[in-house]
Amino acid sequence: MDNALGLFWSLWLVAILGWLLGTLWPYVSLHFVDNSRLSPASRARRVLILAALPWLLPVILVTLVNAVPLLKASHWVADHCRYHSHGHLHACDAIAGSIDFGYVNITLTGLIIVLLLTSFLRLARREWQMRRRLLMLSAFAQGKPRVRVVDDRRPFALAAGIHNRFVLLSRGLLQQLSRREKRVVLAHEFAHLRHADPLRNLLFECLLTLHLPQRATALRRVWQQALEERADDAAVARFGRDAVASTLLQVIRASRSYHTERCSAVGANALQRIQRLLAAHERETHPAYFFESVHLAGLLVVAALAFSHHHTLETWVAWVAGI
Amino acid sequence: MAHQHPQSSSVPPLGELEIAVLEYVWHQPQVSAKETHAAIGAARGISANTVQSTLERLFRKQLLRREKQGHAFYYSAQVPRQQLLVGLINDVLGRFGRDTPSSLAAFVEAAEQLDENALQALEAEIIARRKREGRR
Repeated sequence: MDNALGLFWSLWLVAILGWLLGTLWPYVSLHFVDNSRLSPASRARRVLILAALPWLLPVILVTLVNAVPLLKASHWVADHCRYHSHGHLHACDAIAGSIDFGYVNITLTGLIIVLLLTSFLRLARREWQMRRRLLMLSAFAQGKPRVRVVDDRRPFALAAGIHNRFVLLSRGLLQQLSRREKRVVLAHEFAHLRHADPLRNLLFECLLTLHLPQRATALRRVWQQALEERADDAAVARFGRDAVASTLLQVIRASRSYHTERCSAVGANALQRIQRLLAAHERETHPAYFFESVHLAGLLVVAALAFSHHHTLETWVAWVAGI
Repeated sequence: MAHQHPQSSSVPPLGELEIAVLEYVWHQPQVSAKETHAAIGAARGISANTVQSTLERLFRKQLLRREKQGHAFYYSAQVPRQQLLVGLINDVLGRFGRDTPSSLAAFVEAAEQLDENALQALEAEIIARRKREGRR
C-alpha cells in the first residue's frame, strides 16, 4: 500500500510539473495566436491547442515515466535500475515506497483534487442552469423548433443547445431590422449551429478549467472572437462584407438604446469584427499548420526528453519529495 | 414601461407543465384547479391531482397567488409574463456578457463598451464603400 501511495505521489508530482509547463506555455505562444491577420479557423485551432496543453503535458509526462517500468515488465528494455545508483527514486521499484506519504502530502493532494473538482462542478452547475433557463425561454418563445422568437423589446440573437440546437431571436431585434438584415443575423446564427459552436464552447470551457484565471480569460477572448468571425464569414459568403458589417452596426445601434446593466449580449469584440469585415482579407503570416507543427514538435521533444531523461525526472521528484 | 431587473435567482426553475399552466393562468383573471385541468390537463392525459399539485408548486414559488372561495382555491398570476421573461433573459444575457463560461454563441457584443466615434467612423466607411460600389 505504501508502495502504491509513494508511486502515486511521485506521479502526481510529475503531473504537476506537466501542468506547470502547460500553463506557462500559452504565455509565450498566445502572441502568435491573437493575430488579426490569421483566419478565424486558424486562430480557433491554435487557441484550442494552447487550451489543451495543461491537460496534454501531464498525461504525456506521466505516461512516459510509466512507460519505462511497463516496457521493463514486458521485457522490452533491460532492468537497468539494478545497474545504477539508488540515490534517487525509481518509479518502477520498491524505492517508491520509501517516500513518506505523510499528512502534508495527503493534504496537498486532497487540496488540489478538491480545487479541480470544485472548478468542474462550478462549470457543470453554470451550464446546467443556463441550459434549464434556455429551455424555459424556448418554451415561452414562439415560432419553429429551430428559430424561436422571444417576446422582448431588447434586441438580441443567440444560438444555443448541445443536442437540441436552436436560434433564439428577440421580437425587439426583428422589429428593428430590415428583411435582408434579419437574414444576415439568421445566417450568422445558423453558422454557429452548423459548426456546433455551443458544444465547442462547452468543451473549450472544460479545457480552461486547468488554466490560471487571467490566462483563461485571454484564451477565451481569442476563442470567442475567432468563432464569431467564422460565423460572420459564413454570412459574408451569402450577403457580402458590407451587408454583414452594416447589420452588425445596426444591431449595435439598436442595443445601445436599451442600455441596461445586465443586458449586455455576447463575448466578442463587435468593433473589431466590423473593422475586419471592412478591411481587406486577412493574410496568413505563416504557412498553414506552421504553428500546429511547431507545437506538435515541441510536445514530441518534451516527450522524448521525458523518456530519455526519466532518471532526471525521477531525481527531481525524489528531491521535491525529500528522499 | 420601466425595465425590471430581478436578480438571477428571482426566476425559479420551471418544468414544461408549470410553463403551460402559467401560460394559461396569465390569460385568465382567476382559475380553479378544475378549470385548469379541463383546459390543459385533459388534453395531455394528466390527472386533476397533477394539475392541482402543479398549481400548488407555482404558488410556493411565488408565481401565483390564491384565495379560497367556498371549498376551492382560485389562482391568479402574481408575476406578469413580461417580468418573468425579462428576468430569464437577464439571467441568460447577463451571464453571457460577463467573462463566465457559456455554451452560447450570439450576434453582438456588449454595446455599451463601444465608442460612439468609432461607430460613426465605421458607418461612414460603409456608406463610402456603398457609394464606390454604386459608381462601378
